[in-house]
Amino acid sequence: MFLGNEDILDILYSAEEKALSLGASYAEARFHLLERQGVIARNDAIIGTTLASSRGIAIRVVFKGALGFSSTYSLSKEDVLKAVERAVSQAREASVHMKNQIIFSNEKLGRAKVSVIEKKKIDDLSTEEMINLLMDSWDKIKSADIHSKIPVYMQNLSWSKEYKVIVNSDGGFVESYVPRVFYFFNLVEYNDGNSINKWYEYAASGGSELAEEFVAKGRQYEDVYVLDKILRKAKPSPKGRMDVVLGDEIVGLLAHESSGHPSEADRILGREAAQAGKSFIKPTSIGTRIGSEIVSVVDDPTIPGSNGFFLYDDEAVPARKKYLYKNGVINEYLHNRYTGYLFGKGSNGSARAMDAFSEPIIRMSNTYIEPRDHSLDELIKDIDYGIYMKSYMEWNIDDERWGNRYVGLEAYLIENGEIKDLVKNPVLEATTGEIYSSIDAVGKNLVFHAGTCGKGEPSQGVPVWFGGPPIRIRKVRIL
Amino acid sequence: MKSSYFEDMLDKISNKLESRVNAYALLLTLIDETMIKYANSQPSVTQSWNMYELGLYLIKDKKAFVAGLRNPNEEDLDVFIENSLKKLEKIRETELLPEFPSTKTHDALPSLDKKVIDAQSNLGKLMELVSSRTRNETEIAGMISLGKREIMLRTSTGFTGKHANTFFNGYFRIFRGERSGQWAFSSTFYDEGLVEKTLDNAEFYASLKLPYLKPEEGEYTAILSPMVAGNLFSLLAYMSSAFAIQNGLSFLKPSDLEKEITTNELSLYDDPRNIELPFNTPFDAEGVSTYNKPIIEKGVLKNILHNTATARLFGARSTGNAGWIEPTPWNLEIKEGDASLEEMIKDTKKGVLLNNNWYTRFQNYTTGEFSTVARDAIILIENGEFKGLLRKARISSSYPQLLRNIRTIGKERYKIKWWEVENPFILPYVVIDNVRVTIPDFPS
Repeated sequence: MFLGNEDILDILYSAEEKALSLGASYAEARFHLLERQGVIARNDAIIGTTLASSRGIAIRVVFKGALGFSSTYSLSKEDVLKAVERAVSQAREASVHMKNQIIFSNEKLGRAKVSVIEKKKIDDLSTEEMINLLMDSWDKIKSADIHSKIPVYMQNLSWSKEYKVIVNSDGGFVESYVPRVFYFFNLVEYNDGNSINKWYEYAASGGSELAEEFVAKGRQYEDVYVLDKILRKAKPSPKGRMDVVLGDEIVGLLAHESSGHPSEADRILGREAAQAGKSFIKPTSIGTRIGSEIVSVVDDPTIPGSNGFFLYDDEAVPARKKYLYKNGVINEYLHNRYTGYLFGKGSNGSARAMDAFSEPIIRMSNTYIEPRDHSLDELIKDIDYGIYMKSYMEWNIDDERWGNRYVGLEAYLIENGEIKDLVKNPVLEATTGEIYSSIDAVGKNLVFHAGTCGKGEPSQGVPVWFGGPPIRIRKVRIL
Repeated sequence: MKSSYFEDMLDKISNKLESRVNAYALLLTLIDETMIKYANSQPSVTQSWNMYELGLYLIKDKKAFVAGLRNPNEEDLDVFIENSLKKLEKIRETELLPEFPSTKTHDALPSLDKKVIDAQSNLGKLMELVSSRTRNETEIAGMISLGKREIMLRTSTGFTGKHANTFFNGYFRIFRGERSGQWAFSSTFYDEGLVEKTLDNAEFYASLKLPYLKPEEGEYTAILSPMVAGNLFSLLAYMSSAFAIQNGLSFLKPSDLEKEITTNELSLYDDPRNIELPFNTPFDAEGVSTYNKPIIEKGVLKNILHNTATARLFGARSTGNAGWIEPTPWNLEIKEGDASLEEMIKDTKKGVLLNNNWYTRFQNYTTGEFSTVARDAIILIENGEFKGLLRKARISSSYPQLLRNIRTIGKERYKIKWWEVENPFILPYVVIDNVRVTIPDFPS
């Protein structure tokens, strides 16, 4: 749409020039456009049809070691240059109070154009088609042969298109286009005075072909039966220390929460201390053992079709696959050019901004536990007494990413190597060290799940995937 | 650009829509904001935003379409409106159909403070204030945000609304070694005293010279600071919206109205007319006049929050909480009780005082089962005295259980807003009995 738009490029370069002329040692200008279209339905009713577009220019400068950011709606050169003046002036005020100056690492920056090519154009997914998909889904859900009632089946289907042009005074120039499809459902069932609910999110980069995959062929058509069974048949969960197999849905979340987040170098250095908190990982933790040798955790933005896809980050640094934990050892942090300089390692391309109103900060992309060799049956068969937690609703973790809690939704008792009865809401509470050290087998089937990861001030939600195969952990605490 | 530019823009759009739809609303929001973010006792970044957002709510033949644009130019706008009108023709009828009121104007709610606007271009004083608090053994993180928000609303029934307010919000987390404390503030008006008091409160919790203990997990009396109560009760306010109730996102039911859902100690209000807090507005997004109202009064659920569309579905009246599609609360308030914090502590035999929390997540929205992670100071109380600190703890409970056990409401109130308390909230400490606290059994 705008790719190659000379007027925009002229404004971005003028902004960069202006900042440098005002004394900034670094200047960056980003045009960022996000378009979204979506439909929200509850059962057979349409409760919202929406179209949204956000657009603007974000400026970032370093002035005497202080960082300034400014964002404006206007694309007039005059207004953009005012935004530059504002960023520089505020950084100048802050520079007096800096004890440690902000310096960026030297990098070979990208000069590239990156476009995700849709199989079917995202625009081809019309509102009528979206509505039809959602209504067909409700018809299928409501006709499920179950005992429970379904008072609520809420669905939200949308697509988005993200365009960016980034220029910076160190020679970086990146234009990109990433289309995505997002689908969310919340399924509630009632039976005999009890209720249960499950929500789940699908999202990926690609074209409108994804909508049918998510809405027409999604897991909700299995979940509708599973929830009914849990309501009617689940028994109280056993408590105490026991062996647990975690399904890929929980393993993915585990990788995100207790490997990805604590490996963010800005968090390790305290930059997010008042918001998302700090990290149990310290600046000197590289090489420290965190888990058993069979566990490796990866963050990789370059996976084609992924929700967290990018090839250059928002500082124009080339993106790459990173091993956060390798064979059970803390191996690499997520860096931008600021932390890359401080650690002397350089950036590994992890800076992302949500939109034109957001500064680029260190973010995950697609984070997963690397698959190995076990089938699910093999993971289960070596357990005398334990639990298989396949899915979850509730989870949380402390702000150093050490104390985890995952509450199973679809969960089964394991006895003598076999899956037995459904059990109700087993609660796993354990530290990150305990969980990773207790993993004695890793499955072979890697499955990704989608999410929107929150961080920053103002809070920025960016699209990510998290995933893994099922894993087995020995003797952890079930409450 | 001046606001007259945007008013002309709304006039033009109104003229364009007049003959093309049965009803419409246009909502324009202008924001000019500045923020200083702190980490490691220095500004980590200064940020500023100049942005506007235009919302279109188009209704035709029982079909409704919501469109939102952030920062369009005029050329984009024309294309966008035509595109929206085309889409409106092709969608299905909705069950959430608004009915805009026939009132044309609204009263004024003066809530602009020139000092806030002036301070945006002179941040030095605030930076000096925070810098003056840095000491060798203390690490300060947090943020101060200040600016102006202006809204303009037009509806097809002739309503023309305009309201502007300033905001001055922030929070600080102070670390002293492994101990930390956090506090927040929110106001419409510039007040350096709020920054100082917030730093004081955070420092108080970071400076407690108590030993670390590891008590048994189980049921405790919980004294929730306004940071924690603000998180849990703002979620309750969201769950009192008709949208949440209808979409399986709340434990409340329409039949709970006028029933006792908590002890008579608790009165929770939605306060759009409180100009002290920055989510004030004389009208909502449909042009309905706002008013302060109890969500819960002396334990009884008095109001489910509605816009005109959800009100029609529920056979109720709008409570002036639109939000198109989804009604939302404005400023929130818990009415003061009569206990001081010292009395609350003294009256606690076995309890925990929680300074702060985050990561509240639900196992089941329809039963209200959830857990939340305590952070910063977690103080163990035995027989009315502070005994020690816990390194980690969680509250694991359900809303019905918490609400049944509210014992005491404090008398001193604080104006809070931060990451985990999205709506400005004036509230005191709250004491709840029989709260299940889980404590990790592994050392950190």
